[in-house]
Amino acid sequence: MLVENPLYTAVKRIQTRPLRILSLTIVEVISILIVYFIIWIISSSSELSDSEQFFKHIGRNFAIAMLVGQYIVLVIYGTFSIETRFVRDRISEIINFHRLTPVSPQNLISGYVFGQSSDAIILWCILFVSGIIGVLSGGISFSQYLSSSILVCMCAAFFYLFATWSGLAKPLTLKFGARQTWGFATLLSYIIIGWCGDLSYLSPFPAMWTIIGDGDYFFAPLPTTFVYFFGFSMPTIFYSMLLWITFGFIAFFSSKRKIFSEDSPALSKKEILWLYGALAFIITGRFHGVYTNKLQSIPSLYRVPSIETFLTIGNSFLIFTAFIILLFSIPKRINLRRFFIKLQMKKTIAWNQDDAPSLTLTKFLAMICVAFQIIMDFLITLRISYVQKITIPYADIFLQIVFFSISIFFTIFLIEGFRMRFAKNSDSIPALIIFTWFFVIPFVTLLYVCQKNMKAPYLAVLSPTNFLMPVFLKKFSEETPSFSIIAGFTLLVIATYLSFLFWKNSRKIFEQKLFEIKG
Amino acid sequence: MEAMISVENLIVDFENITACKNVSFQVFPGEIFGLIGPNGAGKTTTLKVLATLLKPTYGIINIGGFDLEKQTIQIRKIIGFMPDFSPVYEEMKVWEFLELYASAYGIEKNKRNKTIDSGLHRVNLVEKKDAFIGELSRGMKQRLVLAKTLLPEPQILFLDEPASGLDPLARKELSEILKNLGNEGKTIIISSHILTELADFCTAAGIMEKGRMIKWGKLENLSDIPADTVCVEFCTSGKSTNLTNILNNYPSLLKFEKETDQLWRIYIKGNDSVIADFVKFLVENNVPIIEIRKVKEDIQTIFFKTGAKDVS
Ligand SMILES: Nc1ncnc2c1ncn2[C@@H]1O[C@H](COP(=O)(O)OP(=O)(O)OP(=O)(O)O)[C@@H](O)[C@H]1O
Ligand SMILES: [Mg+2]
Repeated sequence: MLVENPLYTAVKRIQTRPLRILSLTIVEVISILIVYFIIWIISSSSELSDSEQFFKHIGRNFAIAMLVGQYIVLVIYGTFSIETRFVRDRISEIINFHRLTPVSPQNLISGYVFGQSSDAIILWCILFVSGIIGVLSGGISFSQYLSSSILVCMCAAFFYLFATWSGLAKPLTLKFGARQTWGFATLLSYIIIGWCGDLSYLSPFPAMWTIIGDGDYFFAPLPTTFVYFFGFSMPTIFYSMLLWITFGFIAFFSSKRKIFSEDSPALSKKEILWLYGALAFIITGRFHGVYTNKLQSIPSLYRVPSIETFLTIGNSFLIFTAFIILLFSIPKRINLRRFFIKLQMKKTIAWNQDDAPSLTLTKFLAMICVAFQIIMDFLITLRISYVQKITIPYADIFLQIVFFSISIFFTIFLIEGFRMRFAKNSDSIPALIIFTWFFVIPFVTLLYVCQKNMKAPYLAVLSPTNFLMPVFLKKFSEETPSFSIIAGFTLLVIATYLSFLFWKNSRKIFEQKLFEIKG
Repeated sequence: MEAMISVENLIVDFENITACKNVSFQVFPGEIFGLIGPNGAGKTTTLKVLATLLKPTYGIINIGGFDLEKQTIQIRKIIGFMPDFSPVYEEMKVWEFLELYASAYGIEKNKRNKTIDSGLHRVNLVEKKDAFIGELSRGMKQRLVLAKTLLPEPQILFLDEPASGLDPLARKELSEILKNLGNEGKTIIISSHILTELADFCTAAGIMEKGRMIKWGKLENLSDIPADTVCVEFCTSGKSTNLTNILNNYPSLLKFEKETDQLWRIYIKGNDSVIADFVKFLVENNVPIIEIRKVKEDIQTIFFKTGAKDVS
């Protein structure tokens, strides 16, 4: 129970001291006045003949201003305040005290979230009640008002979970001055998100507009009725909820682990998989939706010149997303060191009698390469027999991302792995593996692809250089722009040169690091 | 005896430094273990690992019979940790802060007030009960955090430089508190670089430097003087030429060292009662002694000795 939650009681006590509430109220009243003024200017063009119409209009404006006020207080202010509290408690290390108490992680989270937002909640109640005055004038029905308010609350719940996660996961190395900048950037992003493509569904406004109706108000340019999802037209509210619930759950479970121990990774492997799956599902659904509807009757925001452009943009976006997500999954050097010291210390898990760490490492890398190859082969086989029957492009994009992700992961792993010391007689082995993997295969493939007029670029997909050549996407079309081939070769040359440098310097650079404890 | 805390090959890495390098030591039940070392030796890092707040790169650590890696929750139930600077909510009142943790530790509602009062009494902070924490002095905040740490009556305590920022009186009170806690049978690890502060009440110590545990053990075992040996230092008034011969004639002599012309250090087999015998011997041989004292190796001497060894 929340009342029995010690953290909630304590934080709420800080947040609801009268002076604090008072100053917050004043700021809030001023910002609502500004909002009302803006709404009044935007909507005053319509002709208002009789006084009943006039009051309806005023009432409607007032109710909407109150909804926007609810959003400002509950979502923006509340989120910002929760995140700041987490960051501050981490910097002062008081959060370690909470970790040492027997209070469960979920109670800690709820204590923080509800305690820290208690002032926002009090203000929200006041605003909610005041908004009803506008409803009474008849400009907006009570059910419309109520459901819009509920949407604001739902959105706040999502953002609170998200703020919890980001507050717990933000790097603290920048400490003081940078804290404000972080906070400001976060705040801005919460506001801006309401106007950014699909991300706008993370704000309650598109769904709110579905409910309130005709859109000649503040947030008019947003799509108003439904979104396309796997070819269906899905009510905007459901789509918003889908996003909130999916990401909210992931944020919650990540926070739970993060609040138990500061050192735990921001996202576990499982969570990355979930997040990635969810993203892939949602984005693919949107692609499919848009594609099958031939881009007609799509609100102006999504009207694009041609499918090619759309897919290319989409593909870059997906790849970018994948990259960001994968950044989380990179094995940090310290984790690798942890792993290898364990191998070294506990002789029983060493893979070989001959447990020179470098040799073990080389074998380890080789095994990963083999495993990787097998998985790739499997995927390709799968693709030939099943996936190819599905001729719509999104399957292709999806596969590309899978390949891309694995290769990025692998690249980074190799780079990190390469930073370890290799024994004198074995340092050519990993270099050989890297070279073969990244440069020989793509090279041969490129030649093959050029010959075959790009009808079977499967192997090229395996190469990490591939993602820089969105042209592979167009393999369903016959032509191959020479540009992409030139780009590919250039990349190959650069990469080869870089890897050569890397190889040359690797021993010098990484000699000291990973296995030394005695130094 | 089973060790209460055992640390084996602890390695802690930060981004570009290894803060603990193969640290191993054991602390036995009821011991007050002083963790000594200069700035940056890795004391705080070690304590944070033991308090389950920092994940080590490697280390087989057992606290109260629980494995640190797998049984974090059980360990958290039996330990108390006090960091080197005192994290508090400045906007809270003293009693509110203690109530937060009293209820977090599951102390029943009707007993909370009593617990808080006795906690404040323990650290001499009763009159500040209703003050805002932001208005307290540094030492008071420290005492408040100590009160908070002692609230759940943990079996094992990790105190990171608890005396820094305390005035001499408070320091004395603190050492009284710690001695009492030791008598209650609690196991305590306390870190410090102020040696005299530890000497009073530690029963064991570990000396850290640059991430290594150089030496550790019971205080008496740490010293170079064996248990059945007495070390005596004496001064003579002026140079005595044949003192070497005289000393060599003393029956239970182990060895002697000439520190300066007037200052001599001598190791004798036996217990304290041989000192009187030795003085009598010197007087009988007309050695012009002006001062004599028993040498007791305290933490300070041990620390400087080890430090010197490491530097050379
Ligand atoms: N979070 C961190 N990130 C990077 N390096 C750190 C971090 N914490 C400590 N260190 C480094 O680890 C080493 C040991 O630090 P530690 O705080 O354990 O020393 P200490 O013995 O407690 O010193 P002091 O007496 O000053 O408190 C230092 O060199 C320090 O710079
Ligand atoms: Mg320290």
